[in-house]
Amino acid sequence: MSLEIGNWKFDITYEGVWTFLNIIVKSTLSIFLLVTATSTTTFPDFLKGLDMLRVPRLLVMIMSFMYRYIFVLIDEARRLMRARSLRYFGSRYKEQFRVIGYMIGVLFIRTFERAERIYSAMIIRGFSGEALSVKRFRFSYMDILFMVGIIVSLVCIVSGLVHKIEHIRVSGAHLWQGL
Amino acid sequence: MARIIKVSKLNYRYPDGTIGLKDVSFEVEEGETMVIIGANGTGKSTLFMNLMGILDGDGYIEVVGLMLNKTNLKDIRRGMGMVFQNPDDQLFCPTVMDDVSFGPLNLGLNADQVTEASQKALALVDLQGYESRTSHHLSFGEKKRAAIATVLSMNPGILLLDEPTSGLDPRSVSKFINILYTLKSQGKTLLIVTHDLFLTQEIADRVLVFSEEKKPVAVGDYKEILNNYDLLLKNNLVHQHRHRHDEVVHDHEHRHGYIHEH
Repeated sequence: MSLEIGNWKFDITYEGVWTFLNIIVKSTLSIFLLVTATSTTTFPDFLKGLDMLRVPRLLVMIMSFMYRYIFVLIDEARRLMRARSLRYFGSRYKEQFRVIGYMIGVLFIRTFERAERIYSAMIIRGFSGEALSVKRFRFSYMDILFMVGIIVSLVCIVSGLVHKIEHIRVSGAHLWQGL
Repeated sequence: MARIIKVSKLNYRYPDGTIGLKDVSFEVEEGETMVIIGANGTGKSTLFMNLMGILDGDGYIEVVGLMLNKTNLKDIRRGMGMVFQNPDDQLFCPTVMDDVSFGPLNLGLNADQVTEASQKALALVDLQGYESRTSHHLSFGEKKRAAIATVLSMNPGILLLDEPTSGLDPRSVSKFINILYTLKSQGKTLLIVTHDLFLTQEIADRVLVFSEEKKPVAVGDYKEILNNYDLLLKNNLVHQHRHRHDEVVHDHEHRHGYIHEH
C-alpha cells in the first residue's frame, strides 16, 4: 500500500507498521513504568532496589550522593549568583564571561573541599569502601497480589490491542491483507 | 580519674605552609568536659582533625592508652566520635536513618543491634519519627541534632564537638545544652570547640584557651578562666566597643553575665 502527499510518496509495509507499533508500545510502557515507579517509590527505596538488583555499588553510591548534595550545590550556586547580581551594574560581555568563569571555579573548589570533609566524616565512622544499609525489603502477600494484578492487566491490554488490530480493515480488506 | 587523652608537642602545618597548630600540649581526664575556646582561625578544628587522625601533625597523641598511628586508627575511632561544624558534611546519606545507622553498620553490628542503637541515639536527640526523613529537608537545628545522633549511635566514650551551637536559635541552643548535659551524666568525655562563652559557662569542667598564634595559652577550671578578663580580651574572646545604656555611652568589654556599674 502506498500513500501520496503532494510530491511525496510513502510505501506502507507490514514490517514498517509492526516496527511503528512496537516503538509506540515500548515507549508508552516505559513512560507508564517510570511514572508508576517515581510516584510509588521514594528515591532512597529506589536506590536500595537498584542495589538489590545488583547494579554496581559504586554507581548506586554516586547516585545517592548526587541526590543528597544536588540541592546543597544548587543553593551554593544561587548564593554566588545573588552575590554577583547585587554588585553587577552592567559591563562588557567579555567581563561577564570572566566573572562567570570565576564563579564556576569557586563552585568547583568549594565542592571539592566539601567532598574532602564528607569523606573525612565517612572514614571516622568506619567506612571501608562498602555501602551498607540496615533497611531490608521483604516480599509480602500484598506484593504478590500487586504483581499478579499488574501481569493480568498487561495481558488484558496486550490481547485487547492484538484483537483490535486484527479487526482493522482498510478499503474492505483486513489490515494485514491490505499491506 | 584516669587520663584518657594526652597531646604532647603537637605541631601542624598546612600543605601551603600556613601554620595550623604550634606546640600544643594538654591532657583530658576520663568523664570530664573540656571546652576549647579561641577566636576564629586559631587551630581548634585543626586540633580535632589531628586527634581523629584525618590530619597528620608532628607530635605525640595518645587516646585511651593507645598512641595514635595508622595501625590503631580504627580502634581509636571506635571509641572516639567527632561531630563536624557543618551538619551537611556529616549527613551524607539520603535518609536520617541511613545516616544514623552508617557508623554501627560499619562497626559490624547485626541489623537488630543497628536498629536499636540508631533508635536510642535518635531518642536522645529528640528526633524519634524522623527515620525516613530526607536529611536536606530538615531545619538547621534538626540537622545539628541528627549529626550528633550519627555519632551517638556508635556509643563512643569520647565525643569531639566542633562548634555545636553555632548558627542555632536560642531554643535550639537550649535543647543542645540539655543533650550535652545528658551525655555528661552518662559519663562521656566531651571535648567541645567553641567561642561561645555562654555554652562554656554552662557545660565546661575545664577550659583550654587557644591564642591567635595557634597554641594553647591557658588551661584551668572554667570559673578561673572565664573570670580572667585580661586573658579573654587578649585572645579575642571578649571585645570592647562603644556601648549605650539609655543616656550613658561608654566602652567596656562584653561577656555573658558580666554585670558592671554604669
